[in-house]
Amino acid sequence: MKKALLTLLSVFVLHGLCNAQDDKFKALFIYKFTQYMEWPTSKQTGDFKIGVLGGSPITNELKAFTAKRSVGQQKIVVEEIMSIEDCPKYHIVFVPAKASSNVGEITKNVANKGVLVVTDKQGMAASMSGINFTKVDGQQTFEICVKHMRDHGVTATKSLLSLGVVVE
Amino acid sequence: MLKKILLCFIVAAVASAQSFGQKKDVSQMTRAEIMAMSYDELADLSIEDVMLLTKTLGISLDEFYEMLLNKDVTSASKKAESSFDSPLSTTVLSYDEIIASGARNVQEALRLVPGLIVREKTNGNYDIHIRGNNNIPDESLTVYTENTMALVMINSRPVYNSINGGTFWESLPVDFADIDRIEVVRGAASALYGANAVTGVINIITKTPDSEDIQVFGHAQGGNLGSYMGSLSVGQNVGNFGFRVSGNYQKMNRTTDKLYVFDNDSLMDKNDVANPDFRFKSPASSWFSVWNQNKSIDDWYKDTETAVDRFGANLSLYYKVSDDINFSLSGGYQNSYVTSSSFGDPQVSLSVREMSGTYADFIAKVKGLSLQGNVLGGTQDIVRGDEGFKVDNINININAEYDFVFGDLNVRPGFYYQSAHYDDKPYLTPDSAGNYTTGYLNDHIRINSFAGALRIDYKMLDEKLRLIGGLRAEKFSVSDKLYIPVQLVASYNINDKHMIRGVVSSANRGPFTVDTYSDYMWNREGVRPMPLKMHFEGDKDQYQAAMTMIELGYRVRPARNVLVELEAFSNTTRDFGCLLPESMTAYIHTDSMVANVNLPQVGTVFTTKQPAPAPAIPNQVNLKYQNIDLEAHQFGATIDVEWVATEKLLVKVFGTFQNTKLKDHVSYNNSQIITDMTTLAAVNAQQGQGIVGQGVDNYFKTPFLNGVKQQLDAGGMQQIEAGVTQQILIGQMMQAGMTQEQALAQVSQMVGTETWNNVAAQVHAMAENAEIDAQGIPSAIAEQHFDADKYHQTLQQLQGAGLVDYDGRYEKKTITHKATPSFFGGFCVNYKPIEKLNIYASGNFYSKQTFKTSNGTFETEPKFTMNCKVSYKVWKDNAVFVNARNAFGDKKQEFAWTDETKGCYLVGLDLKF
Repeated sequence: MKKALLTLLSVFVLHGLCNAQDDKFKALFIYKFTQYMEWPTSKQTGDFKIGVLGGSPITNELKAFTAKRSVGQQKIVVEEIMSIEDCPKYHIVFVPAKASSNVGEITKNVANKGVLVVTDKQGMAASMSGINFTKVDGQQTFEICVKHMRDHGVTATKSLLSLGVVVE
Repeated sequence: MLKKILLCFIVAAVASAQSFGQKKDVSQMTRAEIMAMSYDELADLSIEDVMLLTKTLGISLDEFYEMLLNKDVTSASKKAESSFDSPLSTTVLSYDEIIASGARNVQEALRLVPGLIVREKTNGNYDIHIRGNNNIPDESLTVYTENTMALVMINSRPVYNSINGGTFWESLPVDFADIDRIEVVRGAASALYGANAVTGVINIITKTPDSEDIQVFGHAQGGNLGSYMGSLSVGQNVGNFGFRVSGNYQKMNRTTDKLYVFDNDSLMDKNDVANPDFRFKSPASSWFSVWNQNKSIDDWYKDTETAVDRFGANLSLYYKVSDDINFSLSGGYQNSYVTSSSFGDPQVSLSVREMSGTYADFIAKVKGLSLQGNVLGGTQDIVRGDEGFKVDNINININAEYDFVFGDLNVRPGFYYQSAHYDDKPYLTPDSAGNYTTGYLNDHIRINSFAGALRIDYKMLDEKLRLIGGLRAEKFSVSDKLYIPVQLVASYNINDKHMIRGVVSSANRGPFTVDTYSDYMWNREGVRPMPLKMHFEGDKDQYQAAMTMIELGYRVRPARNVLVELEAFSNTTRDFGCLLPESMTAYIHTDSMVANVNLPQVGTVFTTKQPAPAPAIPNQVNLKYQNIDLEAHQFGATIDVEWVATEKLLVKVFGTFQNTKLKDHVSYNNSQIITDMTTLAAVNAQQGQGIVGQGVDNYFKTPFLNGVKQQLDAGGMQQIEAGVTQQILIGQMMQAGMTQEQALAQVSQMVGTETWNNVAAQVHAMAENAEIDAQGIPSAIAEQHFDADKYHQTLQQLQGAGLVDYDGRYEKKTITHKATPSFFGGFCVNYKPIEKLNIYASGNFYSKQTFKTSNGTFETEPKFTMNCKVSYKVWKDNAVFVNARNAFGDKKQEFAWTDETKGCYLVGLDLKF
C-alpha cells in the first residue's frame, strides 16, 4: 500500500510539472502584448517591468522569452510582485488564476498608472482586468476590455483589438 | 580579393534567401513542429502567427483528447462507433498504449484493462478473468480455475479451446507487431457473440496496411530471467491489394527451476521428485512413490526452467474494391511450449503444455454483408508426457451476417456454424485387443453447433436514445438442448458529455469435449493410493453454465480532457459443471490376505496370513461430469477515470469492487466424498445392504508382498530353507522305513553334517528361484451411489449414533466466495516530458484471495505490482527503451501453488516506420 501511495503521489508531482504547455503560450502572449500596447510617456524610460503576482511557473517562462529582449530602448525585466502596493511601478501585471481574489485591489492601485493588468480567470476582463486569458474551442486566446485599459492608463493597438475578443 | 568578397556575399545572400524561403508557414505547421520550436523562434513570431499556432494546438488538443479518450470500437455493436457511445462496458487498448506500457505479451497488456483480473502463474503465463467468477466450483481440480467463460477472438475468430474450455493464450499466433488494438467487452454477451461470451469478450484486432509505403512495426527486448522476445510486421498497399507479413518469438524462464510437490508442500528438484524412494507422507500410502514410476519425468519437462517458449508467423492479404467492399485472407502458424498450472492431476503443481497450430481466416465485407470463415488445425499436448492428454484438433467457424439499415433502424440477422474436432487416438497405445482405453476421449470427437441470431438497433429522439435487442438460438450437436441467450440494451446520450445505459442479458457456455465425451479409465493399481481405478465419464445432457446479468453504466466527460466511466453489475451464474463421484464399488473384507513362498519342484513351502487392514476399500470410483446446484451471485462496480492532464501527461485510474456469494454451496472434495462413500458402503454391508457380488481385493497385495519379501530378505528365507531341508531329509528317511518321530529325531542330529549341507545347498539353489505370490483379500463387493442430500441426512444419523464424526460438509450453505478479490484495479501514467522521451508507469493491485482446489486451500496476499518503461526516440518514431516489470521485485505468488514472481528488467527497441 505504501508503494501505491508513493506512486500516486508521484503522479501528482508529475502533473505539476506538466502544465508547462499552457504556461508557455500564456507567457508568449504576454511578451507579444508589449509590442501591441501603448504606455504613457512617463513609463517609456527605464526598464520595462513585467510583474507576476505570487509564485507562478509563468515567471520563468516569461524570463525565457524576454531574456536579452527589450521594448523599444527599454530592457525587459520580469519580477515576482512582492506587494500589491508595488503594482503601479510595473508595465504589465499578470495575476494567475489562483491569485485572482487580489485583482480588485490591484486595479484600484493601478488606476491611471500606465499598467496593463492581465488575468487568467473567466469573466475577469468583463469585470476588472485589461486582458484576460481564455480558451475558445480548446484554442488559447484572450479577452480585451478597452474601458479597463483606459482606466489603468494604457491603450491597445487596433491590431491587438482585432485579434482578441473585445468585451464590454 | 574583390571577387572573393563578392563571392562570399553572393553565397551569404543565397543562403539567406534559402533560409528565408525555408521559413515555414505557421498555418501549415504540425503540432509536433510547434512543440519543437525554441523560445527565440516563438518570440520572433508576430502575435497573429502565435494565434495561428494556438489554433493548431487547440484543434489538435481536441483531437488528442478524442484519440485518447474516445477510441473507435467495433466489438460492442459489430461496427465502428466511438467508445463513448458504446452501449456495453467497453475498453479499447490501442497499439500505442500497449507498446508504451512495456507489456511483454498480450496477457500482461490486459492488466491495463479495467475489470480484468490478471494473475501471473509462471513468468509470462497468466490467469485472466473478466470481473471474476473464477475457481467455481471450488475444491475441485485445478483445471476448474481456468477461465472457460470468456470468449477470446482474433479479428472475431474464436480461439476458444473446446477440449477443456478456455483459452491457451500462448497458442495465439499474433503478437504486438500485429495488433492494432484490443477491445474488451465486459458482461454477458452470448446473444452477440455466441457461446462462451459469458463474462465478456476479448477481441484482438490486427493491423491493416493503410499506406502504399512499406509499414514496419517491430519490437524486441531482452533481460533477466532468460527473457528475450520480439515481433516484426511488414505491410504495404499496392493499388487495391495489400499484404502484411509478421513473425514473433518469445522466450522467458521461470523464477525457479524447482517443482512444487503437493504432498511435500515444498519446492523440489526434478530428479528428487522422480526418485522412487520419495514416497507419500501418509503412512497408509507410504509404499507408493510420489512420482508415478511408469512415467518418465523427462518426458514431462524438457527442462524445468522454461516458462514460455513460443513463436508465430502470419501472412495476411487484402483486396479492397471500395470502402464497403473488401476482402482479407490471413493464415499463420504457431508453436508453443509453456510451463504453467497443470490441467491434469499430478502431484506437482506445474506441467507443460505444448502446442502447434495452423490457421486460415477469410473475411469478406460486401456492402451490408459480412462473411467470415476460418479453420484452425493443430496438435495440443495439454499435459506433456502424460498419455491421454495429447490431441489433434480442427476447429471450423463459418459466420454470415447482414446489416439492414432503415433510417435509424438497424437490423442484423446472422447465421453461425462451428465444428470442433478432437482426436486423441493417434497418441494412444491400444491394448492387446486393439481397443483404445488410455485416453480421455479414445476417439475422434466432433462437437458441432448451429446458431441463428438477430440484432435490432434503433435510435430515436435525435439519436440520443438507443434501444438494442439481441436474440440468438444455438443448438449443439451433443444434446437436444437449445440455448437462447438474449440481450436488451438501452442507452441515452443526455448530451455530448453524459451518457447512461442499461443492459439485461443472458449468456451461456458451450460444451467441450472433456465434459461431454470423457471416457477415461485411470488404472492406479500399484502407483497410487486407493481407489484402484477411477473412471471419468462425460455427460452430453448436462446444462451448460449460464449467466443472467443486469448492468447499469454512466459515462461522463466532466471536462474535454477527462472521461469517467462507472458500471455497476449484478449477475447470477447457474448450471456449473463439476467432475464428481457418481458411484463406486468397494471391497468389504471377509477374510485375511495370504502370501505363499513357492520353490520349484517343491511347491508352496511357506504361507503367511494377515488380517484385513480395513473394513472396506474403494475399488473403482466412477466420476461423472455433472451439473451441481451451486449458484454464484455477484454484484460489483467498476470505475475508470482517464485524464489527459496535458498533452504530455495521461493518467488512468481504474478499480473494481465486487462481492460474490455462492448459494447452495457444498464442500465437494472428491477425496472426502470417496472416503464417505467407502464408509457408508461398509456400514450398509454390515446391514446386508448394497452387496452385489464377491471378489478379491488386491489393493494391499503389492505392499503386503513387498513386506513379505522384506521379511524374507531379513532372514526369513534362511529359516524357510532350513525348514525345507529338514522336511526333505525327513521325507527321505520315512521313505527308507523310519517313522516320522524317528526321522525327526535323527534329522535334528544332522544339522551341519555333509548330508545336511548337500541338501541345504540344493534347497538354497531352489530358493534363489523361489516365487512368492500374494493373494488378495477375499471380499464382498458393495456398490455405493453418491447423493449429497442423502449423505447429509445419513451422516447426521450416523453421527447421532456415535458411529462417525460428521462436520456437516454436505449441507448446502451460502458462503462468500473468496477466490475473486473484493477489490482489484490499477493505474497508468504516461508522461512525455519532451517529444522524444516517454515514461510509462503502471501499477496493478488486488486484495487477498483464497483459492480452493482438491489440493487444498491457498491464500494469496494483497499485492501491488509496479511496472515502468522509459523509451527514447532516436530516429523518428523508433525508440530504445528500458523496461521494468514488477519493478520492486515483489515475490508474492499471484496464483495458487505457482511460482513466486520476480522483477524482470529489460532493454530493447521499438521500430515504427
